[in-house]
Amino acid sequence: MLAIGDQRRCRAAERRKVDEMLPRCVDDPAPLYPAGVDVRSQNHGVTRSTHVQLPPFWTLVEAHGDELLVHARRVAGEQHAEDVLQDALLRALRAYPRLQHADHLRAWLYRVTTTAAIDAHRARRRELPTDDVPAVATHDRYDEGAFESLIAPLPDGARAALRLRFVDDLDYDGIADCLGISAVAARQRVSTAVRTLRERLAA
Amino acid sequence: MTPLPPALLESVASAAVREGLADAIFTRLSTPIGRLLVVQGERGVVRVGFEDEPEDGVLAEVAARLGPRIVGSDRELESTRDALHAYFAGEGDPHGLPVDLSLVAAPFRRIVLDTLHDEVGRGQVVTYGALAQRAGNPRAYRAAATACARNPVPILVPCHRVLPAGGGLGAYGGGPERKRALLALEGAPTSAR
Repeated sequence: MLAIGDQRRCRAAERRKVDEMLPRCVDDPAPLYPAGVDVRSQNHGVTRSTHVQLPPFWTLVEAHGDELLVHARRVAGEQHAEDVLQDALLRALRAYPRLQHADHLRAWLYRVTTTAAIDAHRARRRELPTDDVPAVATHDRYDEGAFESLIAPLPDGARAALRLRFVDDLDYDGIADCLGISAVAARQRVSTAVRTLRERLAA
Repeated sequence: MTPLPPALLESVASAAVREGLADAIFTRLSTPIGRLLVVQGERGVVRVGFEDEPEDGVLAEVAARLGPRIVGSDRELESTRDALHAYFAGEGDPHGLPVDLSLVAAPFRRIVLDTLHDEVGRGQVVTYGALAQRAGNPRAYRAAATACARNPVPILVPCHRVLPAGGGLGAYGGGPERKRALLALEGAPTSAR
């Protein structure tokens, strides 16, 4: 018989498993290949096939590992970044053969890293997953639920900038376009928001 | 951007192997005939790629057969690396290394490569015709040549030891220079006549 806390952790783990199985397409603006192509104007139809030819996992790790470490530093802080990334890569590898398609793998790795950072933060604070995380076990709701609850205390403009930066993985020019501000202002808004979050988490 | 520390990648790879998550492991090896990409599955070395073969293509070939969970680790393949380094240092045959011929689809080609692997040791050479004969079909020397040309695990399955009956070095997947270098390393003749 599991303790209630364990049951909750199991449910959260289940949701994460589902989350890691399905890279979302509709709001992933970052393509894996070719790099540097602006796909905001492209069509994001979900294509499914019974036989998915996924690239060798390590090809992804070697192509995106450096930037994922930078991302891990941003979301988890310097001190925890490497542990978080290690955990994230293992989670990704566990889920990898169950992926439904081979699109947007880079954005998927970013999301798995974000989720690992959030979970690591919770574990450090010995926090159980809260009940206000949406109970519906769909991958996108859970991921967004976790991310949204993390950024909830921030003002609207800051939250929008963070979503564009970390959920949608846009660069600062892209964020600037979406928010109708300059790239400099976009960078400033994101870094201020991250700093605020970090201070709150450290408190 | 600070690059990913190699130690981090090694511990991810080790954890993956411990958890049974890796469909195959690869390592890159510096040798006198250039960098080799060595890919090993559960049953043995499944693919050896020469430096001029695009790595992505080699790994994708393995992924299509064994699965996409391919990780890179020098540490997990340490004994394989040691055996190959010893071979290039002139100490014996990397024969003890298990070989997995899963990437060879045609049954006769598989028999040819198995025969070559089991019967033609360091310092020996054989003609395509003689190899075909040993594999059970003396007239199939062309098929034997094709099997060698498409050998997914060169060096371990020693297709460099197969020479044309008419004399000369013959073809080699890694190029004639590598074939000559391997035979010279083994102290073997570089022509069947």
